[in-house]
Amino acid sequence: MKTEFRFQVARILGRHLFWAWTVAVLLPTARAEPAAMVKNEKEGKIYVALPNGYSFVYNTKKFHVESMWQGGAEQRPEHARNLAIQSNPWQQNLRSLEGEWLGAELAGDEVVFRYAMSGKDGRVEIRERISINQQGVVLSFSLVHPKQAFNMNYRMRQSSYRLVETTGQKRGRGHVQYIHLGQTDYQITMYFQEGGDHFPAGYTLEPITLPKLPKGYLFEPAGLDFDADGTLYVSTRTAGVWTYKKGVWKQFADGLYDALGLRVRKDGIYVMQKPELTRLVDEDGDGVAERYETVASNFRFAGSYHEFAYGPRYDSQGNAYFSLNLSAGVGHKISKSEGIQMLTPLGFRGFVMKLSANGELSPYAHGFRSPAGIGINKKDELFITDNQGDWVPSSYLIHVRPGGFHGHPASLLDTPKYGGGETLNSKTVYDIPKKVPEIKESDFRPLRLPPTVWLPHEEYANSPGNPEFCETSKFGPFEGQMFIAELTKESILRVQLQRVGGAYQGTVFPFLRPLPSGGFRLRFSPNGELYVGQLSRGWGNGKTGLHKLSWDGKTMPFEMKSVTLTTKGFDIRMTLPLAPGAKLKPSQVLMSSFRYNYWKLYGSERIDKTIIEPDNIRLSEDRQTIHLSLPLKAGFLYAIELVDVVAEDGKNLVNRTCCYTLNQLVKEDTK
Amino acid sequence: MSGIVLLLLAQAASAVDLNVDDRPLVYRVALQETPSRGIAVGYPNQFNYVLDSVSLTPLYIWTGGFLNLDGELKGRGGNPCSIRGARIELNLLRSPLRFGDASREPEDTVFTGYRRKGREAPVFQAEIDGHQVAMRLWSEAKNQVTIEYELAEDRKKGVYFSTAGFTKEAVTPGEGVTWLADDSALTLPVGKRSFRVTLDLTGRKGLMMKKQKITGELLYMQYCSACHSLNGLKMIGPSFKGLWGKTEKVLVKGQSHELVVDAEYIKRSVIDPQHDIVAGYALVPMPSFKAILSAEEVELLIAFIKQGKGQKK
Repeated sequence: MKTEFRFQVARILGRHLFWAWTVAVLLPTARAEPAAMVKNEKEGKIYVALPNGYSFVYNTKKFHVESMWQGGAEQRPEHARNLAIQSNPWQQNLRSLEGEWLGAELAGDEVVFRYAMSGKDGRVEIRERISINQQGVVLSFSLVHPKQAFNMNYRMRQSSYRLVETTGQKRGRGHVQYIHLGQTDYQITMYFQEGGDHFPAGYTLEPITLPKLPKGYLFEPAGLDFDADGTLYVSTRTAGVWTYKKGVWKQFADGLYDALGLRVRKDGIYVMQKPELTRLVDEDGDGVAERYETVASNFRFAGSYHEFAYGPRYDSQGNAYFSLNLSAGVGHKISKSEGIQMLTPLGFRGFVMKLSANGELSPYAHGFRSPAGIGINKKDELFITDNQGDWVPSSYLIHVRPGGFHGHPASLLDTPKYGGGETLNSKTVYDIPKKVPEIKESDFRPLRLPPTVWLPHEEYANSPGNPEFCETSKFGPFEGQMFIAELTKESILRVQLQRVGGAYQGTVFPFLRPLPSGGFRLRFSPNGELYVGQLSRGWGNGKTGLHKLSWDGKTMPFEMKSVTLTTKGFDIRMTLPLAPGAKLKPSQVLMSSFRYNYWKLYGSERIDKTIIEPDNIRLSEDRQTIHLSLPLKAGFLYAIELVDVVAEDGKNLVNRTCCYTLNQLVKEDTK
Repeated sequence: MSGIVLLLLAQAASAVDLNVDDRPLVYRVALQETPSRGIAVGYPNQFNYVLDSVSLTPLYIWTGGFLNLDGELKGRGGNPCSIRGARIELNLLRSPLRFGDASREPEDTVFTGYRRKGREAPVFQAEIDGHQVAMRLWSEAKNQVTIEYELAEDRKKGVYFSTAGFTKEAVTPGEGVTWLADDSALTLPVGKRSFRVTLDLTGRKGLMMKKQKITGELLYMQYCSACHSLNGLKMIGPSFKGLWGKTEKVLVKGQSHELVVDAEYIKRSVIDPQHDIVAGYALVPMPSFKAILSAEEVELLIAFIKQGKGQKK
């Protein structure tokens, strides 16, 4: 409007439903041009094209930027990236303030959005500027607080592949950002990993048609296993157990209570329900179970939503393991402070339980919060994935050690030190202790075993499912590694372990994304295909589903196969050699290190972040290993990103990032 | 927009009911006012009961439809589901089957599961103080419940069924079963493995359970929040913030009027929304909730709007 700023402003009035699309098409291509702004008063939306070719939409009724897209405004906003910010994101104590729109102006080469937020404690005036570049989106706020500033937070929604950093308080749930009391300049930076499909070459994902259930019922595959004949058994949240053979579904058992896992054994189908571990037996061979035998139930299940049970997994000796989620709503808090905390009604919530082959149930390890993924490999090594929350600053994978304390203190109340640990029976299983002793943070902090491999929040995992071990050569070059499905991120991760100083640590890689909806369960078929069970309604996004992921047996995907810690740095082993004469420049290896707070708050931002430039980058003679030299520190996570690395056969690196959990340094390089 | 609203309403109105077909069903799910390890059993003859598996104690019965699974199948799930009939408590003592002492609750009961086959009554099994027991419960006549126990070994002595909760007249002992001298329990015939007892529930009042603890806030979230905000934000309909006691300009048959928002007005708006439309909101007509909300639920909503002036505490 003010021509002296040489800004090009268009006013477009559109009424039909595809207004946004029309505007995008009509907007000028803004390359070397300054920013352009289009207001639609009726929609309350402002469309902005930035001089650098990025565009975004700002919603003046919801007080936040809605979506952005690259390449100028000639691209359709249907391809735009939703920034997943809460409608009126400004809150006081997690409740939205009342917004008042004041206007938007062009200023410099940006647009300034002005509004005010009012609550019971006063009114805050806010000016918001938005800049976008290759790395991400930066929201910059200038705030004018009332005399008595009050606590404010900015709420975002959970989203795929977004990493958030702020200049505010480093605390709290991943998608709730807190500003310092009275902070006047506040920035939120959203980093994105590359969008689009990341399918490694040679892999195909095929859907499996789910059985048709009566209206209102849902088929939610939450446990997968195969019998010796290759029949797939699927346990579900609410539809019992089904078999799938040669394209035919048959219900094997019904009336089960959130059956989130199952294993096929010689003497029956073992299924984990919220209240118990059950053996299902088809006595007459008609393909339907007649016997529902309770195998283990002497743990407390107070009936709250979150008291899920996961498993079972069997070791080579016939011992079963299952994990018990903490409670929300029923039980005792560990810290007196406010905030979202998981509770325990005692009775081994937050534990991995062991049911010995002779039927004895005992606590095996503890300190778990939401241990939704459990897996055991051929070496009888047990692994758990836990979900981000209080005392679990980001999701992670744990190699479970017998008797070990793995992080969340609620389970301590069931240990002898705090007067717990007694086996429950029919008289005590319903009685939640009324009083519990106080737990001191200083008592348990040193006991915590570090996570084996962190699955950094937002970037890799928000809700990991079970680790599934690749013990076949039919699934590409990853034998000996494991795969983990991810609910929120709709992806599959790959994890490779390294034994250092007697314990495992290792690397997480993205493997495949996006899945058609949230992934939860993985299971290899006898043929080496990876079956993927997907859930929805509040757990994952989209629809429930079942897919089969297979490798064509010949195409070598170009991936970082493994990252090994050395005395000097890291060795990145690629699945394919680089081109002859290839050299890696420092700008092609982006590295940083960071760690997390271990605290009672819900999740933690990354702290102590350091950008690292490797001292030396060297390609091995076979051009397949990248040797990195850099200063190393135990207790940190190392994020690695390779840029523009191309294989000899011309394949681009699809999954360019990984993250190594460095718990212990290597004393000596293995030859 | 109104299409979306109507769709939401249609969803809310359709219940997911579990019906028993030609064979009995056994179902484990969170049920209202029921221990977490309770198990529901439904028969083709519309008789249903819930058993506490932990102590092998039948808890309550009802007749009619089996279960409403909305709590488990709608939204995120995990809310208590409801039974589709009037709940009649059996009021038996915990673990009514006892060994050695009729007045003493067993030391430990280990529930070992159940067996179901075709149309047969499901059989529940447990080890009570080391004795293997199987139990079935069914009904052949109105207000009558028969429980049958089967022991794994021939009974020698001291097996009792406590009839506490029932008058002597309401108890019909099965063949060979006799009363203890003080009429507090039945004792079972030596040398037998299985025995029955029939309990008469005539005169016991059934209790209809509300589907969920319904609150005004819940109703607001379910039926109103798509169009009415709590924070003053103008959506499809006027915000509930500060609504109570406010003077609104409304259109009645095209004529502008002013009125003060009170219980009568809200009630009318819920039942006959087109009667008076707040100025500026005529574009998307609100559907009537007459057939959806009960009078009691409308009262809860009114209280919700009044109490917080629409604003949650």
